[in-house]
Amino acid sequence: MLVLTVYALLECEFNPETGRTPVPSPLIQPSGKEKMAGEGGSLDHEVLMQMASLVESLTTSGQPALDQDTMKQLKKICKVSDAYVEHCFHLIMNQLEEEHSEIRLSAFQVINELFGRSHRFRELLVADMQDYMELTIGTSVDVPLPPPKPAAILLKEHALRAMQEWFNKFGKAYKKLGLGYTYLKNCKKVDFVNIQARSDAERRRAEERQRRLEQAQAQKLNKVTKEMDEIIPEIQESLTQCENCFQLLLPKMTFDDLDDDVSMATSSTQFQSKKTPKPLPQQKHEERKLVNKRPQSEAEKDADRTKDGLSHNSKTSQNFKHDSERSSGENSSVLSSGKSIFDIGDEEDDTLEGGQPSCVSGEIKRDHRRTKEGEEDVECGSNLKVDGKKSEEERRKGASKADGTSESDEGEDDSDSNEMEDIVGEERRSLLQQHGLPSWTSININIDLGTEGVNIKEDEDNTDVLQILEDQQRLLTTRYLTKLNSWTEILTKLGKSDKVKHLIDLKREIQAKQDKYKDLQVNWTHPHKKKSSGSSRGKDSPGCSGVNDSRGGGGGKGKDIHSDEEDDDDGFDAVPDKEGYESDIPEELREEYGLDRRPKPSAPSQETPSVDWHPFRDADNDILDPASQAGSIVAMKEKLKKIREETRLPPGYHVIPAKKTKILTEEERKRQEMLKRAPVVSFGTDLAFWKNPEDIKAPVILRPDTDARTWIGAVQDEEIVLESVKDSLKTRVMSFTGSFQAVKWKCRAPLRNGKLCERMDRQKCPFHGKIIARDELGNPQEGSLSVKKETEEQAKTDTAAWQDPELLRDIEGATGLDLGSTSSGRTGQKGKGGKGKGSGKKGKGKAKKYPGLTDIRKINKTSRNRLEKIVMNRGAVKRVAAAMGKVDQKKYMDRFGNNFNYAL
Amino acid sequence: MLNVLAERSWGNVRPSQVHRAEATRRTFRLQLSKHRDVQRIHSSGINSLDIDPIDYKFMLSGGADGVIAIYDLECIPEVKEFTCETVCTIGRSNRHVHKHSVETVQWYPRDTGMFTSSSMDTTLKVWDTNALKPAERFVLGKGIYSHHMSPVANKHCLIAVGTIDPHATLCDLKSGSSTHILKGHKASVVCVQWSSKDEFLLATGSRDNKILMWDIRQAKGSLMSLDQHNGEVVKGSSAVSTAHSGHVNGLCFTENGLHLVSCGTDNRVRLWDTLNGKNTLINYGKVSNNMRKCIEICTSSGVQPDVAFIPSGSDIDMFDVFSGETDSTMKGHYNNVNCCVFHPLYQEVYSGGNDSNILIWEPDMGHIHFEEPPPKKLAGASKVKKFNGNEINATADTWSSSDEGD
Repeated sequence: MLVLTVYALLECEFNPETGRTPVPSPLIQPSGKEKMAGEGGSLDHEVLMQMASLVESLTTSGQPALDQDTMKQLKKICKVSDAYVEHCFHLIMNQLEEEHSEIRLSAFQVINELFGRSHRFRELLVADMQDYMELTIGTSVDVPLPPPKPAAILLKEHALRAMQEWFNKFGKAYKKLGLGYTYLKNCKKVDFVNIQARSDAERRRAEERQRRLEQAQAQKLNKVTKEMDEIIPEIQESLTQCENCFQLLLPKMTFDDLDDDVSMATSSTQFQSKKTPKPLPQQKHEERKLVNKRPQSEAEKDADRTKDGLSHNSKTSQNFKHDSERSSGENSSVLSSGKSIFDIGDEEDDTLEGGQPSCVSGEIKRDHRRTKEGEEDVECGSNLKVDGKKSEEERRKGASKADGTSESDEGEDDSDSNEMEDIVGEERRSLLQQHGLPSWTSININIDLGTEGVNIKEDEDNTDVLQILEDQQRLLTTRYLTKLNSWTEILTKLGKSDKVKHLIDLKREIQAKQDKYKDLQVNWTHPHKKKSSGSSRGKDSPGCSGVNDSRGGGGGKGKDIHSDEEDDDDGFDAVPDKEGYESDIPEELREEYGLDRRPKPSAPSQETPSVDWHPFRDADNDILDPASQAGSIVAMKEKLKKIREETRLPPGYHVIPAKKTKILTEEERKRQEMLKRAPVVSFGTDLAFWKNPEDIKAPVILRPDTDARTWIGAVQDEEIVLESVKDSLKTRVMSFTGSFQAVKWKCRAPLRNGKLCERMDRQKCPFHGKIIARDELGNPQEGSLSVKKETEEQAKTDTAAWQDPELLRDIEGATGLDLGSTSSGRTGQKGKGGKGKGSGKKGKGKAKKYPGLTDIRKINKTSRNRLEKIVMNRGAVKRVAAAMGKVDQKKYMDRFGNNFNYAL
Repeated sequence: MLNVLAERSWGNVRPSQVHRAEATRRTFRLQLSKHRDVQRIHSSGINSLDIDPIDYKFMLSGGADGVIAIYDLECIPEVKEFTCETVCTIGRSNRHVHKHSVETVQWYPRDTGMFTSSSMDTTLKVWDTNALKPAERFVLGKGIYSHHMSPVANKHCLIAVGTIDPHATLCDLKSGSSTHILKGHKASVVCVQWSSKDEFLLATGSRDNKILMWDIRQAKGSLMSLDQHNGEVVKGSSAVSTAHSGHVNGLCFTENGLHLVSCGTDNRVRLWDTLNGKNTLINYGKVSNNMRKCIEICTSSGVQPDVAFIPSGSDIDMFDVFSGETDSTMKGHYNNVNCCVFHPLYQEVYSGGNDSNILIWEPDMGHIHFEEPPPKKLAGASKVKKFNGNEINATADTWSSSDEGD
C-alpha cells in the first residue's frame, strides 16, 4: 500500500494531463484522488477497501458460480488502471491461498475473468504460475487441494480447462504459460485434448460396471428360476401330502371353519374337546323330537349356543367318541369325512329316527334336561356328555316347545356362524311366523366358537399319518420356507413381481398348512417311538401336552420339563444337605444357634455315600473328638448347664426362659423389649466399634527390631500403618435377599415398522417411557389423554434436560464438538468465560461470516477423529507407555529382583 | 554502453574493459527467453548440460531417461521464434545408450569430436561425436554421480569420477583404465570438479559433508579438507572440518580459479578460498536444496563481479559471488532444477530441470522487433510485447464493452 501510494505521488508529479501542481498529500484530497485514479495509476484508499470487500464477498460466497453484479463492479474498478489490477491480483492470490476449496474455486473464477481481460494481470499471474498451479490444480504432491472434496475436484477440472483456453489464446505471448501448459501435458500427463474424453472414459467404466451388475443379476435370476423349477413341484407335492394327511386325520377339512367342527372324528382319531362348542345337542335333540323330519343344518347347532353356552361349555366336557362303521376303513369314511360334525349330528338324527345305529358306541349324558329325548340319544350310542344347563331363553323356548323349531329354521342358514345373524335377519321373521312365534320377540343367540380347536391323540392307527405329517411340516418350515424367503428376497430385488406373487401364494399356502397343523394339537403318546425314529430329536415332547406351539420352539422347553419329570436317571443326583450347616436358621433360634439346635444327625449322609468325605466337616461333626467344633460345643454346653445350675443367672439376661421374665421389673422389661428389637450382629469390627464407628483404626504392622539388619536394611518405621486396609474394614457387603420377579409385561408401544415394542421393562421403557396399558394396536388405553400429556411433558423435560446449557457445555468441553450450547444458551447465558468456549465462539463467528461456505471443520468431526484426539493424545500415549513400562518393570523385578546377578 | 564506447573511442579504456562492461550489463539482465527455446527431446528430467568450450556452439544434455542429445545453439539474431534444434541424439533406440539415467555429460575440452558421459548404470563412456559410438567405456562397478575433466589440463588426460563408493576414481583416457583411487571420504562422492586454472587441483564433495582438495601428483592423500568454521572449535558439532552441515552436492570454481563455490543440502552456499582452503564466510542466505544427486552450478565468465547461478528448488538464484547478494531469482521451471550452464559468449544461461524443460535465459536488452507489423488484429494473437514499460500494443487489455456499460 505504501509503495502504491508513493507511486501515486510520483504519478501526480508527472501527470501532465491534470496540469496541476504536485499535490503534497493526495490522500487528503479525495476528489482529486478519485480523478487521478481515473486517469493515471494512482490508487484511492476507499476504492481499495471497496475492492477488498468485493473480492472477499466474491470468494466467500460458497456458490459454484460468481455473482455477476459484484464481478462487474470489480471489473469496473480494475479497468480504471493497472495499479488496481495489481492490487486485485494480490487480493485474489491471498484468497487463493486459503485452505478451503470453495474459496479457491471462487478465486479461480475471478482470476479467469480477469486473466482474459488484463494484460497486466496475465503478466502477474504468469510470473506466479507455479504457485498458481499448485493452488488450483494441485501439481505438487506435498500440497494437495484442501478439503471440501467436490469443490476441489471441480476446481481442478475448471482450472485445467482454463489452462487449455489460456494457452490457446495467450500461449505464444507468455512463454511461461506455454511452459506450464507443456509441463502439465508432458510431466503431469494431463490429457488436455479431451478432458471431456476422460469423463467419457469414466462413463464407459460406469457402463461397464452396470453391465456387469446386470449380468450378475441375470445369473442370479437364472439360478433362482432353475431352483424354483426344481423345488416348487416338491413343495407342491409336500403340500398335497400334508393335505392328504389332514384329510385322513380330519375329514372335511376343506371347510374353513376348522374350529367349528370339533367333534369330527376319523376312524382312528379321538377327539378331545374340552370345551366343546357344539354341544347343545340337547337342543338338537329337542328339535329332532319336535320336528322330526326337518333336516338339520350345521348352523343350527351353532345357533344352539346361547349366552349361557359359555358357562355350559366351561363346565361341560363332552366326549364325542365315534367308533362308527367308518372305522371299518371303507372308502365311505372318506365320504363321511366330507361331512361336518353337523352331518354327524344328522346321522345321529338319522339313527334316532331311522333306528339305524350309525354310532355304535357312545353316549350322551345330559343333566338338567327337561326333555327325555336325550336318553334316546344315549341309546343311539354317541358318547355325548352334555352339561345341559340351558339358557333362559332356551328354557323359555323349551317350555314353549317352539324354540327348537325356530332355531332349526335359523339353522338353515349358512354354517358360518359369524355370518349367520346377518343372513338370518331376513328369514327370521318369516320363519318365526311360520313357527307361530311372535316376531316381536327378539332372540339373542350367542355363539362361542371353540377356539381351542382340536386335540389329536396319537395312537397306533394314526401314528404313521402323524409321522408323515410331522416330517412334511418340518420339511416345509425348515427347508422350503427358508428357500421361499430367499427367493422372494432375490426376486424382489430383481423386480420380478409376477414370480414373487406366485411365491407369496405358495408361502401363504404353506403357512396355512402349518397353522392347520398347529391347530391339530397332536397328542403324542408314543414318545419312545418318536425318539427311536431319530428324526426328531428335541422335538415336541409328549410331556407337554396340549400346548402345541411351533414345534421347533416348543422343543427345547418341552425337553426341559420332560427331563425334570422323567429323566431322573440322567445326570442329576440328589444333593443332600450339607451337614453341620443349615442354610436358614429360624429367627428365634438364632441366639442359641449352635448351642441347642444341632443339625440333624448325619443319617442321610450315610444313605448317600456319594457325598465326598471332607476332613473339616466330618471332624466338626465328630462329637467324640474333643477338638472338633461339635465336640467343643457339647463340652461348652455341659459347662453352661453346670453354671446355670450352680448360679442363678442375673435377671434380664436374654437367655433366661420366658417364664422367669415375669419377675422382671419395669426397667428390665423395657430392656428386654429393646433387646428384642435390637439387631443381631455377628462379632466383628461393627460390634467392637458399635458406639462410634469413627474410631476404627487402621491396622498396624509392628516390625520387631531384629538383628538381621544386614539383610533387611535400616528399618525406618517400626510401625507400618495400613491406611488402605481401613477402608476394607469399614466396608460391609450384604447380598440382596429378595426374590427376583420376572417382568410379565411388555412395553408394546407401536414401532415404526408396525410392530409393537417387545421390550420387557419393569416400569419404564427407555425408548417409550412409562409402561402403560395399551390395546392391541399399541395405543394407550384408558386415560390416554393424561398419559399423552404426561409423555409430552416428559418429552419436554427430556429435551430440556438434554439441552441444559451447562451440561452441553460440559459435553462440548469434553468432546470438542459444537452441540449448539452457545445458541441454546441464549436464554441463560451464564459463564461466558472459558478459553475453549471463546475459541468455539470465534469459529462460530467465522462460520456466520461466510454462511455460504462449507464448514471444513465439520467434515473432520467424525467420531473417529474425536476418539483419536483422546486416544492418540500425547499425554494419553505417554501414560499408557508408562503403565506398560511399569508392568514390565514389575515383571522383571518379580523375577529377578532378588537375584543380585541380574541387578540393574 | 554509449559512455563506455565513447571512452573507448577516446582511448581511455581498454577493449577488454568494454567487453567486460557489456557482458556484465547483459548478465545482470537475464530473463527467460521469450522467443527461443530448445527442442524437446527428453521425456524426463534433465540431469546435465554442457556447452562445448571450443566455439560454444553445441550443447550436450543428459537426461534421466538415459538419452543424450546435442543441440546447436547458434541462431540468427532478431528472429522471432527460434528453436534450437538437435544435431544428433543418442536415443533409447541406440544400441550404446546408457541403461540408466545419465548423470553427467561433458565435452572433451579440446575438441568437439569427443565427449564423455557417466550414468547410474556404473559406466563412464567416451563418445566419438561423429560416429555416435562410445570410443571407450569405463565400468566403475558403482553408480556414478558425476565426473569431470580438467578444462586446462595439458599434462594429463584424467577424468575424475565420483561414485557411490567413498572414494573418487581417476580414469586415464590415454591408457583406458582407471589409474588412481583417491581415498579420504567416508561416504559416497557426489561431485568432483577440477580447478579451472590448476590442472592438478581437484575438489571433491561428498555425503560425509566434506570437501576435499587434492593434488593428484601427491600420493599421500588429500591436500586439505575445507572447514566451514575455519578451524575454530564450535560447540555442538562433533564432526571435524566439515564443509557443510549436509551433503555437499554442488561444486564450481570461479573463472579465475581462486575461489570455489559449493552448495549442500543444508541449504547453504559457501565460497572457499582455493589457496588456503578458508571459508570466506559470505552469507548467501537460504538456497533450498534437497537433491540427493549432484547438481550443476555455474559461475559466470568475463563478468566483473563474478556471478554464480545456483538452482534453488524450481528457481535459479543468481548471486553476486563476493557480496552474497541475490541479484535475481530466475523463475521458470515447474520442478526442481538440476543443472545450469553459462554461455560465455552470449551471456546466456541454459538450465535443465526435472520438468524435462531446457530453458534459455537471455539478456533482455529491450530490443524492439521492428520487423513486427504494427498492431495486428488477429484474434488473440498477442505477439506484442511490452518493453521498457512502454505499451506498444493494446492487445493485452480486452475489457469488454459490456463492462464499460455499467
